[in-house]
Amino acid sequence: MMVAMPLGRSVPARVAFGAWRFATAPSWTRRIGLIGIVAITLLAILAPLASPYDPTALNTGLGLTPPSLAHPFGTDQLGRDVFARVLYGARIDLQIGAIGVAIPLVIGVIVGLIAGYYGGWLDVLIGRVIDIVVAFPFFVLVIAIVAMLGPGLVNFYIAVSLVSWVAYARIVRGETLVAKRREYVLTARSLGYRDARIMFRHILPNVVAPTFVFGMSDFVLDILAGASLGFFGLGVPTPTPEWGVMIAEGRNFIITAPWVVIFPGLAIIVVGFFFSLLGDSLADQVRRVDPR
Amino acid sequence: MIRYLAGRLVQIVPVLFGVSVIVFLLVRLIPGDPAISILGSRATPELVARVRDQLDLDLPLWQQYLNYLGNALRGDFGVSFFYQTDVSSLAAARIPLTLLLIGYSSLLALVFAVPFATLAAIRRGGVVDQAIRLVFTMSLGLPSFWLAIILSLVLGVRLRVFPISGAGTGGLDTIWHLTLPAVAIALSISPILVRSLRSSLIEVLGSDYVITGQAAGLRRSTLLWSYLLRNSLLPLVTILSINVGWLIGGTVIVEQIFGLPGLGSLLITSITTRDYAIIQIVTLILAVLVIAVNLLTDLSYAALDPRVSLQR
Amino acid sequence: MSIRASERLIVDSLTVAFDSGRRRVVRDVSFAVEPGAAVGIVGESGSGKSLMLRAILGLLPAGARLTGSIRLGDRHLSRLGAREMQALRGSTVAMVFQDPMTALNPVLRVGDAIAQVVSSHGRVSHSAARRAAIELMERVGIRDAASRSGAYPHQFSGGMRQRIVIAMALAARPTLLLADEPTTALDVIVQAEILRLLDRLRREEGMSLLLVSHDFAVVSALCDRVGVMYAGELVEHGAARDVLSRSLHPYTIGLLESLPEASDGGRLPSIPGSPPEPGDLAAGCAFSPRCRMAIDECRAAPIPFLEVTPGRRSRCIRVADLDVLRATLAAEAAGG
Repeated sequence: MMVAMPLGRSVPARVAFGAWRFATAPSWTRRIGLIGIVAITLLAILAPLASPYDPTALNTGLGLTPPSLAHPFGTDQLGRDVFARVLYGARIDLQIGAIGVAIPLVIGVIVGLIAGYYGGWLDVLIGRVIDIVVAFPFFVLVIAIVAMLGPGLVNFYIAVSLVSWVAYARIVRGETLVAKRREYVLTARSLGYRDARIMFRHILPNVVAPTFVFGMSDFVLDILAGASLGFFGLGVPTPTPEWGVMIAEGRNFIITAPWVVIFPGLAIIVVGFFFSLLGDSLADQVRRVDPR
Repeated sequence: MIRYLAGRLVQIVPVLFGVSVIVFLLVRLIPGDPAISILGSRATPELVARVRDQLDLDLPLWQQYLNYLGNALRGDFGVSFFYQTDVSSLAAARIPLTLLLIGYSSLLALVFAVPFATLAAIRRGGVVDQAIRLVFTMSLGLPSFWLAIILSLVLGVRLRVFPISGAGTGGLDTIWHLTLPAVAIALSISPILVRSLRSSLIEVLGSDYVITGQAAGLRRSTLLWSYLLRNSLLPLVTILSINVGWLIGGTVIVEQIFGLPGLGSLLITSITTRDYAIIQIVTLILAVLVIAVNLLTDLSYAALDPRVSLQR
Repeated sequence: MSIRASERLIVDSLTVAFDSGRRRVVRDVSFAVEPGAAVGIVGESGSGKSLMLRAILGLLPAGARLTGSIRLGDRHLSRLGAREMQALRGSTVAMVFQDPMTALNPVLRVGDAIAQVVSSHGRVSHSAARRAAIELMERVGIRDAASRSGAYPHQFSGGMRQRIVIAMALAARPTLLLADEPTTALDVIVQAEILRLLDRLRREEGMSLLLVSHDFAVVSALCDRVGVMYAGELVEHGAARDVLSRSLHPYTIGLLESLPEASDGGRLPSIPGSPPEPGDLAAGCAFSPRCRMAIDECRAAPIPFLEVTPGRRSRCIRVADLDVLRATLAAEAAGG
C-alpha cells in the first residue's frame, strides 16, 4: 500500500495518501464496510438529531412497550426509548473501540520499531515481556486490572493499553526485522541519518499496514470486551447508555420484553460486521502489495 | 521426546516467573492503600494494620515479591477475605469444572467449525463459500454474553430443553448442564475458527503435492484423508492454540451467566467483593493453562508432522 | 511391456484463457504425439507450456476456460467427466512435476504414497500394493528400496525425490507420460541421471512422452520432435535435429544463440526485451516487438502456422531470409 511512494514526503502526508488510495479502491467489501462505519459514526454523532428522545429520561408509565412507530426499538423497563439509547450508546462503544485500538497501536508500534531496529538484548528483553503478557487471556487480564483500578471507562482504557500493545509490537517487530535489511534502510544509514529518523520516517510507513489490518479486528474485540465489562457492571456508570450495560439491565425482562436485549446486541454485531469487512478488504490489499 | 520436553520446560520457567511477577504486581495497581480498599467498609485502623502486615505492604517491593514467590511455591496464595479460607483450595476445587467446560466447548467448536470451513475451502469462490464467509464475518462481533442470554431464553426457558443454571449432580447430568454454556462459547468462537481454518485448508488444497496426487488419479477418499485432512491437522491445532485465550475469556463470561461454580464465576464475583487474592490466583491459573496448552501444541507438532524433529 | 498400447495424442486448437477470456495464456495450439514417440516443447516461463500440460490432464486452476480439443486415441479428454478423468489419470496419462521438494505429500511415507496410486487404479491388496511400490522404487534406481519405503520425503535428496515422483507417475502403468520441467530444480549431474532414467523407462514401457522445458539440451536429449512455444503459441515445430541445426523462427534462433554452449567464450547475446503479457498481445506476430527481422507485415495480422517442408512448420513469414539473422548473431557472439 505504501511501498510505491516517494521517499521525500512527510509521514502524515504518506499516511493520508495511503488512506485516500485505500478509501477509493474498488472493492465491494470495502465499500460496504466503509459506508456502514461512516453511517454508524454519523448516527452516533448526530444522535440528538436522529432521535427526539432523551436517552436517560425516565418515563415509567411507558415501561416495556414493544417496538412501534413512536419507539422503533421499543422502550426499556424505565420507559426510556431503546433506539435513542442504542444511538447514544454507539458514542460510548465506538469510542471504546477507537481508543482501545489507538493507544495500544501507538505504544506497540514504537516498541516494535525499537525492538526490531536495535535488536540485541533490548529485543530479547522486549520479546520476553511480550511472551509473558501474551500468556494471559486478554479478557482475563483486562478484567483483573480493571478490578484493581476500579470500574469506569478510563480504567478500562488503561487496562487495555497495558495488555493490547503486545500484538502490535509483535507485528511491527517482525516487519522491522525484515525492513532493516532492505536497500532503502541501508541507503539511509549510509547517508548518516539518525536512527530515530530512519525508524520513523523510513521504516514506519512501510511496516505499519499490517497493524491497521489487525486494528480492525482489535476494534471489534475491544468493543466486545468493553461491552462485557459493562454487562458485569464494571464499565460506565448508569444511566449512561452503553450496549453491554443495556443488555445487563434488560436481562431480567427478556421473557416479556426481549427487544430491550436484542437491539443492543444487534448493534454490537452490526458494528463488528462492518469493521470486519473493512479489515478483510484491507488485509487483501496489504497481501497483494506485499511481494513476499 | 523426554529431552525435548525437558528443554521446553526449561524455556517455560522464565515465562512462569514473568507471569507470577505480573500477577504479583496486580494488587499494587490498586490506587491508594490496598488494605483499605480490600477491607472496604470494614476498615478499622487495627484491621488495616493487620492486612498491611499480611500483605507485607511495608516492605520494599522486591522483598514483597520474594515473600510472595516463596509462599506461592509452597502453595500458599493467601486467604480470601470473603470466604475466610485459603484461596488455593478454593480455586483448586473449581478447576475441574472449568477445564471440563473448556474441553467441551472446544469439541463443540470443532464439530461446528470444521465442516463449514472444509465446505467453504473445497467450493472456494462459489455461492456456498461466499455464504459461509458472509455468515461467519457477520458473527465475528457476536458477544458471548448476549448469545448466552438468548440461548438460555430460547432453549432453556421457552423450549425447556436445557437447564439454565448450575452444574448438575455430576457425570452425565453435569454434561447436560454444561451443554448450553458450551454451545454459547463454541458459537462465539467459531467465526474466527472457520475463517482461519478455511484459509489454511485453501493453502493445503493449493499445494503442489495435492496436484501430484490428483495427477496420479488417486481416489477422492484418499485425497481427502491422506492429502487434505492429514496436512490440515497441524494448522488446525495451531489455530486452536492461538485462540485458546479467547476461549478462556468466553468461558469466564459464560460461567457467570449460567451460574456455574467454576474459576470464571469465582473471578467475577470476587471483583465486586474486592477479593484480590482470588483474582490473583485465578488469573495465574488461567495464564498457566494457556502456557500448558501451548506446550501441548508444540509436542503435538512432533506427532503430526514427520518433518518436526525433536532433536533440537 | 505395457499392457495397453500407447495411443496417439492430438491437441487441436487448444486455447486456455483466464479472466473471462481476456487473458489467453495458451493460444490455438495444435500438435500430435504419435504412439510411442517423444515430443518436446521448449519455451520460457510464462509461455503457457505448463498450463498446456495441465489442460491435457484436466487440472487447470480455477477460472480457466478451455477451448479446442484434446484427443487421446478416440477419447475426447476435454469432454470427460470428473470420475472418468480420475480413472484416466495415472493409469493412462501421468505427469512428472517440476519441483520435487514440494511435489510429495510430507506426511506420507514414500512407500505408502506410491502404493496409494497402485490401489487407486485397481483392486489390489494392501500388501500387493506395497510390494509393487518397492519394485517401482527399485526400478527408478533407489537402493535399499524396501527399507527406504518407510521413510518420509524430507529424508531424501532432491534427485531421490524426483525419482519417487517418477515412480508415482509410473505406478499405474500409463501409456502417455507428461513431464513439466522434470530436471529444472535439480543440479546438473543429477539432471543427467534423471534424464537417462526417464529415457530408459520410456523405452521399457513403450510410453509416449510429452516433455516441456525451457532447456533445449533437456529436450533434445529425450525427444525426436520439438515444438517451440512463445507467448502461448507454437512458433516452430519439427524433428529435433532439424529445429536445432536449422531453426525456422527468429525466436528459436535467438534462444539457441543465447545458450552458453553456443558462444565460444564471447559475449552471450540475449534477446532484448521480454515476453508480452497475456492480456495485451499485439495484433500480428507476438514476437515482432523484439524481432530484428520484423517488417510491417509481421505486425499487421496474425501469422498462420505454415508448413514449410513436410513435418516442419513455422510461424514466421520471413523464413526464407533467416540466414541473414543467423549470420549476424553468430558474428556478434564471436566478436563481442
